[in-house]
Amino acid sequence: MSARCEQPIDPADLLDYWLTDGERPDDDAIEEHLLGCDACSGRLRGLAALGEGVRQLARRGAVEVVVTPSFLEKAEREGLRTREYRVPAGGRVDCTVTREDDLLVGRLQGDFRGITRLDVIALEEGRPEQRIPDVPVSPDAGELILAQSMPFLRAMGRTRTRVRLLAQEAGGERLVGEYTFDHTPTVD
Amino acid sequence: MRYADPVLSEAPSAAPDADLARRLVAGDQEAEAELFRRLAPRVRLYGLRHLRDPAAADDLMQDVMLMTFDGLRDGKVREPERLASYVLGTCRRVVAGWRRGEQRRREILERHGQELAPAAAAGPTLDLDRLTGCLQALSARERTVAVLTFYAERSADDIAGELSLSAGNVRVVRHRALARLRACMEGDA
Repeated sequence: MSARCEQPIDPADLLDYWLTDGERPDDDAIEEHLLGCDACSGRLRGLAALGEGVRQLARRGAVEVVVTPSFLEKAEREGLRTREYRVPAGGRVDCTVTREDDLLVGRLQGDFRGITRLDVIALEEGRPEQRIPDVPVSPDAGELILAQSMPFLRAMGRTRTRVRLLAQEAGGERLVGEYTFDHTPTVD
Repeated sequence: MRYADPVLSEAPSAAPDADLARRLVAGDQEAEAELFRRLAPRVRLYGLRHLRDPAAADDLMQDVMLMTFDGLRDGKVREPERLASYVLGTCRRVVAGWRRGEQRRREILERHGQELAPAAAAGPTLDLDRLTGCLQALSARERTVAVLTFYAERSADDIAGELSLSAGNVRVVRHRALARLRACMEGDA
């Protein structure tokens, strides 16, 4: 069954198989199928390559992404240097990024209890508003951890960025907090 | 195990593995080369899943392929139609043996790791610039779940706990994120 697979493994099962460490009850059937099937093993190789690519980009801080404490713990275990700015709602912080920094996160403090949808708005002087809709946040977390795009930050000049967190509610938008970042480039 | 709709491999070939195995036993070198081309990446994948180490997976591939071809020539594979089962058993024995002799394996890999990494069976390489754009194009939830899955190596249950979602919801978001990334990398999105 090398050329065509009549009964390919379900994509969700393939992903669960790949991501789980150790032995699972279904592993015998899946592994025997994979060792006899070019189509399914090819799909799994593609999935593994995609995962490895995402991992590499995350390590480089290549994209802006909401993260969690477990992400920061993994970065620390890997020896990455993470610059953090913890800002209370209504607060302002002077910030920068240096050549030694691998990652930079803003830890935006707020009360997210009862919120089912939260949008992030970034306002920079001279640039159109940027909105990230429906970011993932735990109501109990007390903070939103936003990892910044390092290539973007490194290219940024002296800039004031105001970040607003807006809860989307039945009656409209409600401001949860506004956070001001005064960025100054570091001359290395 | 659940199944999806039928799919074609990227490089379809007419002969089943069992036919190639029979031809290998009869001394057909082309069949041997084709069987290696097919089986080696599959064995490497098994190694990556169980050893989480590309160099060790390459080493496993070398050992298992040698043992499999020797087994075929020595008549140990009585039913070539069940070749995958024989290869799986060989993979398991080799990995179990390594786990018993972990230190010895590390020493061998340190000495010969580079030579044992055959380029032909290496995994596919990705255009990371393109992947950056594809990752950025995901929704915020999809991007977070993808990064926590592959970088932080968190399970669906772990991610659900951190984001106050259900594990089922995380699996749905993860599946959608991967489908979109794949489509984007293949130029469909």
